[in-house]
Amino acid sequence: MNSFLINECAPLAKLGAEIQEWSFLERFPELAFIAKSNNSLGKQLEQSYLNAVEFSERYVAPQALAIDKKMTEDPHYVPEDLLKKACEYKLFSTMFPAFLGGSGLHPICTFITYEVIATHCVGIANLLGVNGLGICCVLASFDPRGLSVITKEICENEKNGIPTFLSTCVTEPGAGSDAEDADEFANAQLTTTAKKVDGGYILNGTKIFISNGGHAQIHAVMTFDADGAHTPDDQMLLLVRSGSKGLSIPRLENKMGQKACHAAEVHFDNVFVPENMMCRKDESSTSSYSYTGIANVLGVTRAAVGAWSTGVAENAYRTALRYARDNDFLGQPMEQQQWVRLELAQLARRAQVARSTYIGALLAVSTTGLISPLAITQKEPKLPDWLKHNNTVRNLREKVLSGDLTHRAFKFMAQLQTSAERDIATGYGDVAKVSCSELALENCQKAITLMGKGGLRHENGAEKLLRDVRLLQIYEGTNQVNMLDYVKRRVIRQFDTQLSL
Amino acid sequence: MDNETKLILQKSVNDWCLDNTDLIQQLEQPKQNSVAANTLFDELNQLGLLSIFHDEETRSEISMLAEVGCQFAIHSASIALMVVQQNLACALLAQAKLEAPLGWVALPLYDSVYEWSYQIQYEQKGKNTITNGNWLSISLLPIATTLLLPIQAKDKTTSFAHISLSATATKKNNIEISPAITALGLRGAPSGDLKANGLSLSEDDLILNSTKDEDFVTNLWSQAEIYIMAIRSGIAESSYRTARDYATERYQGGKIIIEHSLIRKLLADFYREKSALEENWRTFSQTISPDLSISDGLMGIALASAEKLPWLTSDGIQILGGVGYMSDFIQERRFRDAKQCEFLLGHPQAKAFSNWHADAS
Ligand SMILES: Cc1cc2nc3c(=O)[nH]c(=O)nc-3n(C[C@H](O)[C@H](O)[C@H](O)COP(=O)(O)OP(=O)(O)OC[C@H]3O[C@@H](n4cnc5c(N)ncnc54)[C@H](O)[C@@H]3O)c2cc1C
Repeated sequence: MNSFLINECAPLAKLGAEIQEWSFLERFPELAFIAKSNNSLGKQLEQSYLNAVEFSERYVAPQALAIDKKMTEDPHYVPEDLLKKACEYKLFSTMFPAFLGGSGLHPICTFITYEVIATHCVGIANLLGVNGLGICCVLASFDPRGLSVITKEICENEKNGIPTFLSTCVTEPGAGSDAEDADEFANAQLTTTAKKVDGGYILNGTKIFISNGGHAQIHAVMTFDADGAHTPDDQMLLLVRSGSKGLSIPRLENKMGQKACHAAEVHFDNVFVPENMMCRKDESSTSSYSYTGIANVLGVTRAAVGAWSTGVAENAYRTALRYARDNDFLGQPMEQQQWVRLELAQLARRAQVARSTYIGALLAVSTTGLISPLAITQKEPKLPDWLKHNNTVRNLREKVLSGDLTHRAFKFMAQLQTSAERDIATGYGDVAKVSCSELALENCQKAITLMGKGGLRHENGAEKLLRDVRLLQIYEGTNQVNMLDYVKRRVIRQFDTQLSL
Repeated sequence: MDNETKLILQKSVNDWCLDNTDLIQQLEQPKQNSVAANTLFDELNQLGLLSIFHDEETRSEISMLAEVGCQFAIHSASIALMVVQQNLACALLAQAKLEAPLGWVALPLYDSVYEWSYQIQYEQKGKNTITNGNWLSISLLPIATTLLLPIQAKDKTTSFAHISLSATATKKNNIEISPAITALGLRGAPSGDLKANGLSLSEDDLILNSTKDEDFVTNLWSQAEIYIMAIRSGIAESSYRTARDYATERYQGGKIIIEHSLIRKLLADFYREKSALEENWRTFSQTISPDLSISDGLMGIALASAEKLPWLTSDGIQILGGVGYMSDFIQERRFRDAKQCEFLLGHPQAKAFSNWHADAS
């Protein structure tokens, strides 16, 4: 009856209990090439990779399915032990420059770290990594004071084993895609507003779908002056503490996947926000943002979704590989059939293509985008130890760095960025987000198809992947909206001589 | 089935679903709800929908069962599957001249006839048939009172001549049934794993094992592709309707989103595909003979529908943006159900190989 099956391949060499992780060179040959010409960057990248692999194998992989199940039943559950370990591995501070108390690693280290974590659970990658979105928003306001409020708290807490979450509150019931696109801002039905009062602002409104919103200690809230205009240049970024009077979390969303990172509704009812928690674009200005600010943020955060998607694509490949190693198809070992091996190779190929795509975007954004000034400011100045740890010196340094001078330096560097450069970075971000998330979705679909009914069972991992992956086409702007952005930044530009570099 | 009967059937299933939204919701929770499943059985049994294929008069009404499956799937693919499965079980029991069951019947609905041979084996010991082996993901097993299980003669080459169908109570010595599997979709129609550990079956338990029965079972399983296509079409229909209606209400980019040509294209393509899915099962359900297996071409169409639906329902989510990912709008359930439906009646690749096999040899 089943003679149509040919068992033509010799069995694979006996595989170990777990899939062996690749070396840095095997996984990131493009970065290894760069590392060859920059030894210290090379060391940072490799060490970050190994660190992420160790953390993921020890703490993420063994718990991913259990956390998914637990948080399906109780979305309020917080995986405390995992978060403590994340503090030990300094995963909350990895993205900050040394002068702000962070690791001082090149920003690319953060992205590869999160690709690795997403290879084991993209929900957990989101839980730990979504702080980055808020940080980019603050960074794009070029307000070092706001940045230092957040980074200080995150880094200090991390040292004490306390995870600190920063949520980013942009989306509202009437404004999803519109709020992500500078050109559509005028149409966005954003109703959250801040009214200037003595010593600060009174914030009113509701934000929805806010990742980590339910347990974030600080919320970065995008809003407008209640009496002002609603253009991108009029946006204000307020940092709101979770205990503030009038701030509530009416509900956690019941979503399909990425359960480890909940999404919440965050409501502000006459919440007072002190003046010093408003991020400023300029010392004199009351706004935080500009058209270019939004574009710059998206270039980075969309590339980050590319990294997470790549992790999912890789996970789908590995899940199918494990299954094929252990199961039969019509009475024959799956892995000995040539067609199965071809399917596995296609899964691996898609993951590799995704990786190259997001790394391309990272290189673009490090060259011409928001993280290019950050990449420069990563380094801690070389001071003797006694001076480094001297309190007076430390306070003085903090003051300088969070003061007007740094602000001006930030702004100056940003002003050097031409619109063409910004479009390169953001356009690459769009492509990374869309391509990687599509490749990841395809991998999850194909992995389950290969596994058959076994792919539908929670314990085999692939069904969780399909639920998780579907979000990647939606947040950070739907894939369609990303492509419309790409049209503006890359396609139209080719016809517009005014715009070229 | 004439047009008038079709319209009455459509309306009554639709009305029943609208009157029973709470029951549907209880069933579709991630955790199995046996009470809701039993209530559902009583309700649908009373309406005669669970024994269409037991009744001599309606036994060959392929289009009737397909219609019922499609209409239920618009509201709940799990219920649609349960109705179809129960009727398939009724057809098998009627063929063996047994009464219609009084509870849900478990069937290995996630396996093609070609995959049956590799699961549970039997040995004849005197008058008793002793069976051993595991069978994973048997549909409705956790809520069923009866189990219809194909068993394979030990050490025999794989051919239906050595497969028998056994009918047995699910509560029996030497049968181990797992709790409901946590599955991607069709959560209202739970599956479970079976472990037969020296399960002893009497002659009465073995119901279908002649060559004539082989044809019957193979044809039934083959025709069942039509019902599953109808269920897929129901899922596509509901996902499409939700997307279309949402697009006429949601305002982004300066207008109602259905006014963006990008959304219009997505909807137009979705409409094209879901209409094709519907046309296929409707046409074929009226033309195939109840005594024959479906053609290789129709099997190709069925496999294409299995592959297409997860992508269509994925677009159904995308048109809604963030809310599509939340359970409130049911689009996410349709996406999960669609993928689960890909594997009904067996692994698609196993079916593709077997469909092609005769041609190659
Ligand atoms: C789980 C989850 C977590 C999230 N986390 C956060 C968070 O932490 N912080 C935050 O602020 N937001 C968050 N979001 C919101 C997310 O960024 C939005 O969902 C996303 O931007 C899409 O917006 P929307 O859901 O309102 O969809 P809509 O904008 O309503 O889109 C609906 C459809 O219309 C299309 N569309 C929209 N505009 C246009 C146009 N101009 N032309 C053509 N087609 C168009 C879209 O492509 C889509 O198909 C999260 C969302 C989810 C689901």
